[in-house]
Amino acid sequence: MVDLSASYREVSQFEQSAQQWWDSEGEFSGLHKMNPIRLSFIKDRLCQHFDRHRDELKPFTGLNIIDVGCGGGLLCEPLSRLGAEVTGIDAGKNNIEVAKRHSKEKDVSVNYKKCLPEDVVKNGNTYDVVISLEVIEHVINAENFVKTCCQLLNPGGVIIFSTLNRTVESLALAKLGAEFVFRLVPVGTHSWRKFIKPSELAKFLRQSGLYLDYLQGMVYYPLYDEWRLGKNVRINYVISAKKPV
Amino acid sequence: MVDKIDIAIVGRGLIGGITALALSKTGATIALIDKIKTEKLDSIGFDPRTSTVSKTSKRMLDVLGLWKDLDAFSNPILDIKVEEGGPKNSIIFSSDLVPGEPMSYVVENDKLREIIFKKIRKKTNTILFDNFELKTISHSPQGIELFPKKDVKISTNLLVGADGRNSAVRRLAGFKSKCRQYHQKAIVLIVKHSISQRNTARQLFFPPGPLAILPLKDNRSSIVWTMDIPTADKYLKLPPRNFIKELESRVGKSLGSISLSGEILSYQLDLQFAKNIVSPGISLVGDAARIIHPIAGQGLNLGLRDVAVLAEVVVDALRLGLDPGDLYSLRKYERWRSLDTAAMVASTDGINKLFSNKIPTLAFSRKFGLKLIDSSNLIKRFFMRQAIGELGTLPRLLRGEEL
Repeated sequence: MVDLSASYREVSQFEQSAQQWWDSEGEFSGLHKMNPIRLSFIKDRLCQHFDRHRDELKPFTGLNIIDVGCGGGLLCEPLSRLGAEVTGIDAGKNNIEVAKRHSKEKDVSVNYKKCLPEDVVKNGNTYDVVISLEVIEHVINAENFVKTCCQLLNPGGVIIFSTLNRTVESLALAKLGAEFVFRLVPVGTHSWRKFIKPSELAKFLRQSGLYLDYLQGMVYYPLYDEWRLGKNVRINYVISAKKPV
Repeated sequence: MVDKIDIAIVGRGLIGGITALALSKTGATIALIDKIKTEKLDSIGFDPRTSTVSKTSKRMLDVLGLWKDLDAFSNPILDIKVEEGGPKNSIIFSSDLVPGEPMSYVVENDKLREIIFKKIRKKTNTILFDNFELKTISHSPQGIELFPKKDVKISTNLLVGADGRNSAVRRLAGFKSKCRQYHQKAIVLIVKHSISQRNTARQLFFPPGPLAILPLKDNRSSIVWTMDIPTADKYLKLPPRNFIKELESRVGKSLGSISLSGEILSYQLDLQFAKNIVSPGISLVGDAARIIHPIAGQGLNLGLRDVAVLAEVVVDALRLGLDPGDLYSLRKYERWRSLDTAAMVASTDGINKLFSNKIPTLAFSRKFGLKLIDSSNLIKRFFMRQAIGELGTLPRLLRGEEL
């Protein structure tokens, strides 16, 4: 069997709900709520690394970004509005169709393609920034996936992953709590064994010759129904690494 | 003709204008729409209405560059004197209790309007649409579409309803709003008097209804007199000279000799509030979202707090490349504002009930209440913090910071 990065069972699970991607109070409401802090982390890291001004209307102008596992394009559209040249790839056909239609309606320019990161590597395309958020916990082989993503990165570029840590808390909250008790995400969204510890992710990144830049926790506050960036990385976290010039 | 606009604001009153000014800093294109023609808007004739601007609201007007022009036309309030029956039974809320700047200022709506629109005309990213009556609002995949005229269409990501009491945005977008008549009228006027009030605002509670005296510059005061409708109509029928005589008999000699400055205005009072103030791509601010009893003079402050929070939520979304009309950020605005609104509706409603009533037990409890409040600096401070607008988490503009 060819070692493809996407897990077909998991891709099809997201595909069934593809029409709901842009409903901020639908099945993907969790991602909508998380999006501001994910974008905030990305903006912080990229502005610092590429020496851009945060207050500019389009601080990412001139940057070439690929979003691996873009889903309905929740991240691609904001990145494009901030001035970046954005490519979004996803293994799900429906996802890409929804993403294409939405960006056209909203008049946002994103280059969407239904393909896997290994296909992009084969074509020889590389990017200043590679982003893959809430995806790595769904792929078949995380180590290979990270390696492939790193191959997409230009020297001097930044890579950003966010995912779930494999801890007792994440089992209790992100898996059992979110799926069965609070129904924040559909049952079967996650498989706890595939969650990855920051140390493991850091190891994979180092193996590809990258050095760690920043690690932050993403914490959900039920009282405010809001996500915030913080020090606690026991459940959700986001990590950035740089490729030497 | 189709105009693609980032943010469309309906209603060119004080709140609509300030919303435009606050959001113009984002660099977004803004349309400010009103059904009235321009020449009528810059000055709507003599307007005797005044507003109290709390300490936090003042900071916001300062950040937006309005206060430096307004300063000369505003009068600080250092003490609030609440009297029941006569000057003997009174409590004084002194600004010494909450140290710092004056607790609030009285400004003339006329002057504030003039200063706001002078500033808006200088903004290149703000377009003024006059003589546009909103007929339909429709949702499209692109956002919200407005058809103010037959051959004109405005397409926008975010529509802000700042169109006041009879908000067309609220009606056309299908927001449900609750309304209760107070069966009261407010009589509003400006008077000149021989004895200076300096910086004391007075609230007198006696039949036929509560009377507020707010100090203005040049030995003038703004009078807001609330009474039941038949009594108000009786007073309003009086020739102005006799009306002033009646007023004099109520306030005693404290103002010296009084004369009317300008005209007398009156309007019916009601309590209105919309349960939801956002829907995808649409939000309500100011009187369009809720109208409270003018008894505590908090209407403009509430509206400014709406604008401060909405502007912050919208600016934060735009800076992250997010769609400002997205329900997720608008819900944040709605949640943030809900507590303040509920508290203000409940307290103004309650104070009005307590003080415009002749039932003996209530009369006793308000006397007792005034005494109790007067004896406790802690309770006084709470009331004053509320009046200043310092309760709850403050958005950046109300903290006096740039957006």
